[in-house]
Amino acid sequence: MWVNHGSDLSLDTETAAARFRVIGHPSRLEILRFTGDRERTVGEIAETVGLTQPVTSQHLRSLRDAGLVRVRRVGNRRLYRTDPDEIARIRMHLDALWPTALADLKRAAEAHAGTTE
Amino acid sequence: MTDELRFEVRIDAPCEIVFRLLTTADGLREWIAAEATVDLRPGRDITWTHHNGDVVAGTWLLIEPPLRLSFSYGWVGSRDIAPGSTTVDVVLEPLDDGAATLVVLTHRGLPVRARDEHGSGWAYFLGELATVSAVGGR
Repeated sequence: MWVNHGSDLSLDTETAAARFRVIGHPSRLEILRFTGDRERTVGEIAETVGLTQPVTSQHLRSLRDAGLVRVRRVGNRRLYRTDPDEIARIRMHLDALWPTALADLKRAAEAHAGTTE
Repeated sequence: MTDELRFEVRIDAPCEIVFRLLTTADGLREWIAAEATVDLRPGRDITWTHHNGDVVAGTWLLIEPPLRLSFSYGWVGSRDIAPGSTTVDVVLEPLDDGAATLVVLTHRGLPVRARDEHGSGWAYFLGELATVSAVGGR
């Protein structure tokens, strides 16, 4: 039933694998949770996650490179925050937006046509 | 650099039924929207709210009942997929002497980074991301 002609599938796989590598680490997930609702400094993040600041900075670098965390400078401080757009976009696409929606469209249309089981 | 995603589905219903579900507020609420507003004229709005709260906003680009439609598509509040930045094009092809319809939906203009993957490998990722999203919220 489904045919997905997304272009350049090999690059998709690489991007997917890269995202796995970035997210698939307990500390990074902790960081994303902690910076999810409010901007945080490296010190706050390190203390909450239970890591040293240098290690925390490394994780934040990886998350920034993947576009999952954004940084804002205020004076000489850096404030980190999970990028809600990126998370939401990933979420929506991972939720297989269109295939799911089109399956629902199919169900609704066939109910009207009287052809559903 | 932008990308194009294309999906097809065979629906055992005439195209007029499918077209109505794609182009009316009541119709959209039956399959994709919690709330919807549609002014079915070129240049006018189509907007809906997903069940997860995300709001899609678009304007009609092409309306050719009962076989073709397209509208601009974006998420309110999104930088990378802003309203007007992508287009959704739907072509309906009658099958089985009109008893069925092949729906071909093409979503163009998505930024390369937004391309998704479908497959079982994402299951773990989805689970973790759901937790992050639940805490972060939008």
